[in-house]
Amino acid sequence: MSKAVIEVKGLHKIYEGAVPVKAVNGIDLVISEGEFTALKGPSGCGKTTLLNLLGGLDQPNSGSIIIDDTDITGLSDNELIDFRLHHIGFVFQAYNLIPVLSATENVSFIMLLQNRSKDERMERAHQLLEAVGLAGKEDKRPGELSGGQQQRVAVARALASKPKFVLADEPTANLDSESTSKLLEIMLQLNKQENMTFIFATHDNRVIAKAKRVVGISDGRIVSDTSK
Amino acid sequence: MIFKVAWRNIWRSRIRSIIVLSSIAIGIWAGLVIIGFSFGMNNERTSAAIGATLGHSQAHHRAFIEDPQPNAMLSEAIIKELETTLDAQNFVTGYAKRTVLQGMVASPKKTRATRIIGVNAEAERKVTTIPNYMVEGDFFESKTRKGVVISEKLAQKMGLSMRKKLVLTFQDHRGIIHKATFRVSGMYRTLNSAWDELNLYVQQDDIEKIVGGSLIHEVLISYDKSEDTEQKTKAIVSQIKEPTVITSWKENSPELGFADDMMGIMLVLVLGIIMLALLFGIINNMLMAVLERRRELGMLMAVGMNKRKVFLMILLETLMLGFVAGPTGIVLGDVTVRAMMRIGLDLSTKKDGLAELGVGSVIYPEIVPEYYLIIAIMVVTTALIAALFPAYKALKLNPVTAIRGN
Ligand SMILES: Nc1ncnc2c1ncn2[C@@H]1O[C@H](COP(=O)(O)OP(=O)(O)OP(=O)(O)O)[C@@H](O)[C@H]1O
Ligand SMILES: [Mg+2]
Repeated sequence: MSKAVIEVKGLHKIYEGAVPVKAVNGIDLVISEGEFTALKGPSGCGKTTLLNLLGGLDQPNSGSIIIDDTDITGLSDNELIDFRLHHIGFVFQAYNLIPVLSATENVSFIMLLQNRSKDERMERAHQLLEAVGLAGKEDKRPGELSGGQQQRVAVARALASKPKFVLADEPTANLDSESTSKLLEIMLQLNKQENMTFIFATHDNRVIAKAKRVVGISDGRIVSDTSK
Repeated sequence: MIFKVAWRNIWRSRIRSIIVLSSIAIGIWAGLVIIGFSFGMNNERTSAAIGATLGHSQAHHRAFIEDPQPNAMLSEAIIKELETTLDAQNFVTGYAKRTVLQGMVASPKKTRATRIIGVNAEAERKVTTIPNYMVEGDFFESKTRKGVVISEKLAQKMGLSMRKKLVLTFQDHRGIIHKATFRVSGMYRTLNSAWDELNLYVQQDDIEKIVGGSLIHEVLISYDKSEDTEQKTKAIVSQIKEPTVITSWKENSPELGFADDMMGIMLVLVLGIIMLALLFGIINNMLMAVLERRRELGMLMAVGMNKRKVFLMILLETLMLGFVAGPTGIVLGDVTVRAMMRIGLDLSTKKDGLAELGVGSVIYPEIVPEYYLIIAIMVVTTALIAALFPAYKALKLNPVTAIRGN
């Protein structure tokens, strides 16, 4: 059994309001290195909330999230930003890229934030863009790329920082089926080649079909967990 | 790369940025033109007053300053000493000894209080520009005995014209009252109508003959240039001892000196108001820029761009606006002022109003280098202050809500 990258215990997240919503209601979960896992469930079941908690974008009401021996629920806002920069890769549904920067620059930018050398940035950006099938499009800005190509740049960007794992919330929601399968293919390949851990939130059956582990969620709880 | 991002972000909403950039540039341009003309007008007024009436500095007996009585005069010995001192200063281009008497002027129609200035026409010509202000006759060139040069304005008020007789009444240093008839041999008009109404010129020789001796109350001193008049005056003062007192033009015309000192403050105030208007323009622009990009900024914070860098990026964008527009405005302003220095601004239709202010009808602006620096500093400061609120707003974005997009 390979090493755990995330260990979640007794996680609760309640949105206060006229009617408090228990969006995450007692979740225990271990994600191991090299997994390709999909979180599935009906709309409003709490997938995004869980992913945001795992990514340190939001704070739970109770429970612990241990990543790399650190319980991120105990980190301050500023520590969390820094933690995200060095440990977690993100692919969002949209608005992943800086519109005024080219594909290469978008991928380099995150490495710049990590203070990596220019040579390293250029080399890795080039290599990753090639890996996501965008060789020749390095100098294009997001506006000049298709939705699927933009998501592939986002995947390259997510990997550029050498994170422990990549969180992707509905990465294919805006894509046609051809782009979706291309993106999945690329992510699977990176999962194999770089042993990169991917965690998706999705209700896209094409994604679920490709996942190696599928965690079913309903009303903020895990209701199923199957590995292939 | 943060520079690159900030720079490119400026050009994302091209029209909006161009509007902000132009407003900053126009604000600076206007500031420079206002400064140029204010200095031009003020300097013209000052040098006209110095030339025509004030001199760069004046020497008097202390008693004369306290109360200008005829007996508060400078003795021959004192004048000798003063002349030696003045001759030794190479910046002194000339001096004119004058008799100054308070008296009455009477025409067949009217009688008025007046100030009689007894001059040596030759010496006076070296020191003052009064001969340039003659509208009729001349400034004692013809040496007519018992001629008097009065202002056009006084002539009107007294119903006098060229060659007409008038009677001057005054007391001499011994307290004897003299009454003498003079004939109008010239008329002048300076830019200072208050001065014109009060002062008239006669020849010292005529006064000496009437009172039977030399009578000097005032020495008008002129320098090579109008710069550093305070220091030059101080240099003379340090060589002079009581009872002689040297006063600079600023002291002799407090209202002119005050205007000179106040102008700097006024101009900084005007610039401040321009900057205040720019401040709100820039804040508005940057706030829009931040709100438009809140998803992107949220994403950047989500993937690990720390608050310091986000803050810096917004700050940089705002400063860049200033760095682009600032020099543009300064160059435009400079070109305009330089062009106007050659052409001048003809305000002849408003001539009378300007004459009241002591200014000619064509105004030439001036370049005042230190204001370029002041403006540059003000623009950068304004941009910095304007950046703070939008940058703060950017920091307050919550990545989760910003990305979700509501
Ligand atoms: N900021 C919030 N404030 C209040 N309630 C929220 C907030 N965010 C989410 N919720 C609620 O929490 C629950 C879980 O939402 P979440 O976005 O995690 O669902 P999801 O599984 O990602 O749904 P979807 O498949 O539609 O993306 C929902 O009932 C939602 O209405
Ligand atoms: Mg969701």
